Amino acid sequence: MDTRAQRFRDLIEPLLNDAYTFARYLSRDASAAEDIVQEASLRAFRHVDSLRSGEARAWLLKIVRNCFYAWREKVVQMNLQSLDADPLGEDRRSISEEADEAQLDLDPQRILERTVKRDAVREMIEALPVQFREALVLREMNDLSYREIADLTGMPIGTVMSRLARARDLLRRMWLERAAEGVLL
Amino acid sequence: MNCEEVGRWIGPLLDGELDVRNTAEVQAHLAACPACQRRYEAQAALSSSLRRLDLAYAAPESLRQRIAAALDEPAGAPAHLVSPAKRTPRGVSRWFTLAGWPVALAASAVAASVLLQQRSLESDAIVAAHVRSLLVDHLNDVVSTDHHTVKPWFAGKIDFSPPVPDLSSRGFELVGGRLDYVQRQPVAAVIYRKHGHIINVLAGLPGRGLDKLPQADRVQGYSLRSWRQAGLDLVAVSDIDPLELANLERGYENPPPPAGEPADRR
Repeated sequence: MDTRAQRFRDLIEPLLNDAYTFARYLSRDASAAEDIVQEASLRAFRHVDSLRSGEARAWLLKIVRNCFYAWREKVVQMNLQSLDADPLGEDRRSISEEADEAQLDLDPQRILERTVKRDAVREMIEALPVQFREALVLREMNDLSYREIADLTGMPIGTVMSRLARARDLLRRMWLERAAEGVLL
Repeated sequence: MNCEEVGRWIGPLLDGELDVRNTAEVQAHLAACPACQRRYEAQAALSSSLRRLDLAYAAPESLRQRIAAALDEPAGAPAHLVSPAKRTPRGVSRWFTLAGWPVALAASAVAASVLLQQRSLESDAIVAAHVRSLLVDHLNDVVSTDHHTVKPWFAGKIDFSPPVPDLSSRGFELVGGRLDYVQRQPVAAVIYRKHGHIINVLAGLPGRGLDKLPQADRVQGYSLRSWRQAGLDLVAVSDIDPLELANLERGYENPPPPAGEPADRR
């Protein structure tokens, strides 16, 4: 029991930012992301004995992914919210503000620009279809290799590659559109 | 390598996923082809912008606390620690709207995990349902100690009527009812309490995830007991003594006549 708790602290706790980031981009909802990560953590805790230390990140993110898809299915079933609903909400704003307060760069103008830009890019990523979104987040934010993404999603590496390429292509187009509107740069 | 092939390898090159030989070939092409070079630079700019913006999120402190609180509980006896009434109302509305999804989630997350032994899969899902019901403020959707209130509550919410016997003569106090999901199927949960232990009795139509259970099982300190009754699969799960679950099953199969009806006063 103690060793399990210890393993959880050593291997899983340092990855909670990763888990939350992945859940947050997948679910596009701050409180759902918390629920998903909490559930995933409980699952991870129960099975942490069988985890090899080098694989913790991909292993945890796979559990997060399973939790996300279960949540998504449930939401669809209950028809509580459209999955295409505008993801911008109050929670998200406060998180951005919190994160920015912690930044070392204290120039208010730059913080503001950076926040606006970051929120705009996050919004664009959230607008990607889920299979592209997850590939992109796993690669760009969770730093997984193609092989790890392939194992985690159950896709061949070639599919991972093409999804990543597609995600980046879509993102670049949106970026250019927003830039033309003056939102970015 | 032609431009189309090179275009496919730009992403892997920037991601450091390309092997030495292909890296050399792509770079040679880029050096000689301004159009591909521009594509490469556009992709590189996107990648570095994404990284510079630091788009990851930090897990909120509240989440870390929730996880720590959930895990601090002694493994064998979570029922003691979680009295739904004692919990803060913070998560209630959220869990109310999503009530049940953790169970579907537990079931499918477990099913997808290669780490779990196949044998206890179904039992595990039931225990997960039980534990979640205690942890996340969704123990009861209808709170009532009166089976005349609990039983009709299920009508219209699920396509069968679960038995809700009055088991007070055996010491089981009715707490309430809830809809839940096990193995992606809707089940009716009826909750009893005895000596402070919560007992979830799940009922489902045959083939809805409750039919593959052993008659009695123990998983991580929880006891399960399943039986079939009136065309339904039932399973009781609790951290209570297994003998009490057998007692509860007997109560289900031989319910006392409902109080207040003529048979009672004869």
